[in-house]
Amino acid sequence: MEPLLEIKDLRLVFSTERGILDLFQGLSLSLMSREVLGIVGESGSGKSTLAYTIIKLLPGNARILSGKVLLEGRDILSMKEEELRRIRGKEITMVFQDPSTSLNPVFRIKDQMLTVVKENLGLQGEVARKRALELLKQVELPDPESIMNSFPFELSGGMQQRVMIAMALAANPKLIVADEPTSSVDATIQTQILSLLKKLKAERDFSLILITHSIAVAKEVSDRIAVMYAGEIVELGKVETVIEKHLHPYTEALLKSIPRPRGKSEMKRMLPVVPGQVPDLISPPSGCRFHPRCPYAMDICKAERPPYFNKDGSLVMCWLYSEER
Amino acid sequence: MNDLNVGAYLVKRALLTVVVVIGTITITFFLSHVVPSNPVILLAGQNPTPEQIARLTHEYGLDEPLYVQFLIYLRQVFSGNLGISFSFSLQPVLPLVLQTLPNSMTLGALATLLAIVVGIPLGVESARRTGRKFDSLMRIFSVSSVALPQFWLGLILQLIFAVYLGILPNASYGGSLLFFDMHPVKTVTGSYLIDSLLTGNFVTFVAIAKSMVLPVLTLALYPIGLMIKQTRSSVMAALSQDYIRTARAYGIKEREVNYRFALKNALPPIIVTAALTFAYSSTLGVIYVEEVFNLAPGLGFLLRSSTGTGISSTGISGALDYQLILGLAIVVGIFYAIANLVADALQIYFDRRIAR
Repeated sequence: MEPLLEIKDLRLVFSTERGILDLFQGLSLSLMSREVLGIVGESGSGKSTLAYTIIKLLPGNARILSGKVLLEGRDILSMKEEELRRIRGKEITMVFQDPSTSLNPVFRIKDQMLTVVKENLGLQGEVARKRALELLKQVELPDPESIMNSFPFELSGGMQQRVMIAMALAANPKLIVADEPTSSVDATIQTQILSLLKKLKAERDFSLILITHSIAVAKEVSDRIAVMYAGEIVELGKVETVIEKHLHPYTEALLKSIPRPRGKSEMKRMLPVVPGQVPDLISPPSGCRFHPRCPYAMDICKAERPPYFNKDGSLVMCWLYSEER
Repeated sequence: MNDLNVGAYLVKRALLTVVVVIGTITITFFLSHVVPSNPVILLAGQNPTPEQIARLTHEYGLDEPLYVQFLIYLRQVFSGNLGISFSFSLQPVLPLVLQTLPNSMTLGALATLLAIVVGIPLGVESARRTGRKFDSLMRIFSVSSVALPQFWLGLILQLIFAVYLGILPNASYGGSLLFFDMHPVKTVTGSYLIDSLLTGNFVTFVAIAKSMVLPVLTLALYPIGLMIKQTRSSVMAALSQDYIRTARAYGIKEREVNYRFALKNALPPIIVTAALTFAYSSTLGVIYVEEVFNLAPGLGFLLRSSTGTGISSTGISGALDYQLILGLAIVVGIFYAIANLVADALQIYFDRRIAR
């Protein structure tokens, strides 16, 4: 079966005041139709940049050196603006991290919903309005009529995020990219949003890329998980495999840092964190980018960037799994 | 959004306006008395004796202590009387000012309209193309238009369009001082342009409109530059916001992203600029333009006369016409205050968060 989305050997850098920031040095990833892929990583790992690369909505200082992003075989990166516009909002849509800034503050919800519905579904007038109301109902918002007449600042964070999701669903997209959709809301709302996404996923036919810094959130909804570190996907596999039989030392560190309810005596203990810091990618570490923080680092890790090794059905970018070792 | 908040906010702003006007009166009153001047010499005729001057000074209460004069003046203002003008044959100040206002306001309104219609699109396009050639060109244009002296620009435009090309009249409403003797315009609003249109006097209307082209251009250049600058910076700020990224991610057309989603967010400072442009161009801005293009009656003319530097109806100049100065300051102050109030109301209309 042909994948819905295929990222092939993507090389991307940022020009910054301090020099060239080398983010993706040949990143590949594919996504099947109806699949949910969780992309997990610390801030600065490049997971959001990856999301914006998929709809080619990158900041002005980002430069794509090579690679392809294929949506059903069509290369998004080589498309003209007008072609891209026809894909955005129709075939691929996005849900953003902070709905309070991602919704336009001076337009009522109805103006924003209707613009999206009209642009991407070609509906007009009363039909468009009905469709918008229907979408708001599908994301389980009470009293859609009054939501339509509200300004974003009159809604709670959870409601705003539901409106964003409704907009993302409008055109029945093939792919929804959700960039940290739950990190700006509190834990209760987070659970609600995640179960809403799961419910919608079950009802409809879209693929979902869920970008999050929390491996626990990714676990909730994903079929597969990709762990990102410093611009590399260091481990990619089925959710159970990654959680239970994690391979990469970074995944191990991430899993350890999930807070769990513990006994009273343990409460006082510090939360475990991944030691060290995300490297400065203007002068990235040689070889494997994780080696300065890795407890298992070997000589070869400093010298050579590891290839992917296949283990238990997962892909892992780590010399520990080299056959010749 | 509850309208109570909006109402309360506007009432608060309106009350503030009253304070601003009283402040304007106070400051203008005392500042105008810093320069020693006795307006009665405007009345005393030629070669008055010191006794005549003393008698007139006493008669008009100008020998009272300053604070007493101020209190008398305040009481007079609050009963709706702005006093009399010494340089305009003792005419009451208020009608004098009000009858000049419509013509000057017409000039100001047209200049503001031009600034909005030309300045906003150029500013938006400039913001979209930050750092590119068009943007640099616009920045050079807006800086030079703000820096260019109005009286000089007026003279150059007269030279080109009236003297060399001969396609537009040089000066005066209708192009000649005798115009209104031949084409009388019935007074409705007091603005020649509007009145000639309202009374269906199209030949006259065209002649007056033609004579206003160069003055309006002269008056508008500075606001156009200002509007480009303001729109550019405020749209640029809006374009870097998350909601613009959202609009683009949803395949909204670039035109709609710029002129609807970004521009509406960018409007508050643009509205203030437009309101102040209107207030400025209708009052202080017309001083040079009405002089260079000999457009009378107008507020600019009156302003100059009041400071003793213009030609008054009595032909005598050189003294400060206190009550006319104060009357003008009050009217100009109220004008600015109303412009600000309208700007406030419009801002709330475009962004309800302001009144929260």
